[in-house]
Amino acid sequence: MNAGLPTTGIASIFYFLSIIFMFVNECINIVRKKSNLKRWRFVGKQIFITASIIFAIVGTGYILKMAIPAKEVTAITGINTTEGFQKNTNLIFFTPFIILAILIALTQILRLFFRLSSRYINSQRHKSQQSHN
Amino acid sequence: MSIKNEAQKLTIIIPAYKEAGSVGDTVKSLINQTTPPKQIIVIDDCSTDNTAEVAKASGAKVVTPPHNTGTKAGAQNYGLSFVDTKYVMAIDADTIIAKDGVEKLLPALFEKNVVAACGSVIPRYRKTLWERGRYIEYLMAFTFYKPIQNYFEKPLISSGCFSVYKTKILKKMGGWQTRTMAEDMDLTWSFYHKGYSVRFVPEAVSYPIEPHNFNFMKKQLKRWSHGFMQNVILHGKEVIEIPYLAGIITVGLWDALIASLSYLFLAPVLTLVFRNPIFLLAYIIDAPAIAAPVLIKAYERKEFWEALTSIPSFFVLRFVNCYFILEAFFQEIVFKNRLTVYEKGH
Repeated sequence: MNAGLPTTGIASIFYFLSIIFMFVNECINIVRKKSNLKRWRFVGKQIFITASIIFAIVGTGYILKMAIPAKEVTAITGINTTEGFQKNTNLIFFTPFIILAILIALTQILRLFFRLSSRYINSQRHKSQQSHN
Repeated sequence: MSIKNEAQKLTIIIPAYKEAGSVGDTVKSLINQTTPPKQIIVIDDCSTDNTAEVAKASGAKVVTPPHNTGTKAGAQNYGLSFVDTKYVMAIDADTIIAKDGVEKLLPALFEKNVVAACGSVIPRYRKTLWERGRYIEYLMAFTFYKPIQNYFEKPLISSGCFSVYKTKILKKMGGWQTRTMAEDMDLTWSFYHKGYSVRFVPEAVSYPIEPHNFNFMKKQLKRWSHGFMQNVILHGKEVIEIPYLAGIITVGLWDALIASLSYLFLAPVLTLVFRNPIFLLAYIIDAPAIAAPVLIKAYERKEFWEALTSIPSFFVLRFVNCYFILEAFFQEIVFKNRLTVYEKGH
C-alpha cells in the first residue's frame, strides 16, 4: 500500500471501490458542470490501471486452475465434487470483500464510539462548570 | 501568479548528519532548477565528517546547531528558525530533485487551503536487492495508491524527503514534532486534523539514495513501522473522524497485520500441516497483480526491463516488511514499549 506496509490485497479492493466512486463522482460533476478533461484523463488512467490489475488477478486464477491438479485440491480440502469446488472458489473470492466490509464497519463503529465519548466528556465538563458557577 | 516570482519566495532546508558523500549533489540539483529557490540552507547537525565544507562549496548557506539535535525533525526545526520566506521546502541530504521538481511542486500551494505538497520518489540507485525491492514498492505506491488518495484530497503522508510547505502555517503548527519516529506522517495527519489540505504532485520527481544493504534497510524499516504505529496511537482518535483518511489507515493497518501473520506464520504452518508446498504459492501469487501497475509506470519511464527484473526483489522486501510491522505492532501497541532512539537509515 505504502512503502513499508505489506498488503494481502484487501487494501487494493478498498482502492478498487474508491475508483468506482471516482467514476460516479465525475459523472455527477458533469451534471454539475464541475468536471473537465484533465480530471477525466486522470480517472481514465486509474481505471485502466485497475482493469490491468483485475485482468492479472483473473489470469492468475485461470492459470492456477489449469496448473494445479484436482487431486491436489481434494487432498487438502477433502472436497471432491464439482459443487464443492465451486463453493470453495466462491468462498476464496468473497473472503477479502467480507473482511473489507467488516473493517469498514469497524471503522464506522469506532468513529461513532469516539464521537459519543467526546460528547459525553463535553457534557460532563459542562455540568461540572455549571456546578462551579 | 508567476512560478518564477513565487520560487523567489522559497527557502529549501536540508538536514544533514555525516552526509559529505551526497549533500553536494543535493545542493547542485537545487541550484540547477528551472525555477531556482531564493535560498538553500543546509543544517549540519554537528557532523563528524566534512558535510559543512562540501555543502558550502556547493553553494548552500550552512547553519550548525549548538549541539547534535539527535533527530531529523530537530535539525529541520533548527533550520526553520532561519526561514523568512513564504514557502519552505524540506529535502533529505541524500536526495536529488528532477530539474523541474520545484517548478512542478510549488504551484500546488497556490490553492488557498493547501499547506503542504509532496512529489513522487524513485530510488536513485537500483543495484542491490533492497534498492530494487524499494523501487518496485515506490512504483506501485506512486502509480496506484497515492494518486487515488490525492483524488480524495487525503495523501497518507507528505514524504519527508521531498515536500513543500507554507512557512507561516508550518511555524504555527510548531514545525516538525520529535514525539514519533515518523515526523512527516505526524505533521501530515496534524494538518488534516486542523482542517488543512495536502496534495501529491506525481510529476514532481525526487531521487533519494535508498538503503543498499540489510543493515541500513533494517534501521529504516524499524523507524518507519514504529513511526506508523506511534502515529496511529497519537492521532487515532482524530483521524478516525476524517472520513477517507480513516478508511486508508484502518484498512492499511489491518491489511498489513493480516499480511504479516499470513506470510510469516500461516503459509509455512499450512505447508507443514498439509505437507504440501502449494501453500508457498501465497508468497508470489499476486506477482501479476503487482506487475501490472508497476510495468505500466516503468514503460512510461522507459525502465520496463529494469522494473521487470526487479519484481522478485519486491517479494523479499515484503517478507522483511512483515517482520518489522508485526514487531512494531507488538512493541508499540501491545507492550507499550516505545521506540525513542532515532537511527539513521543510511
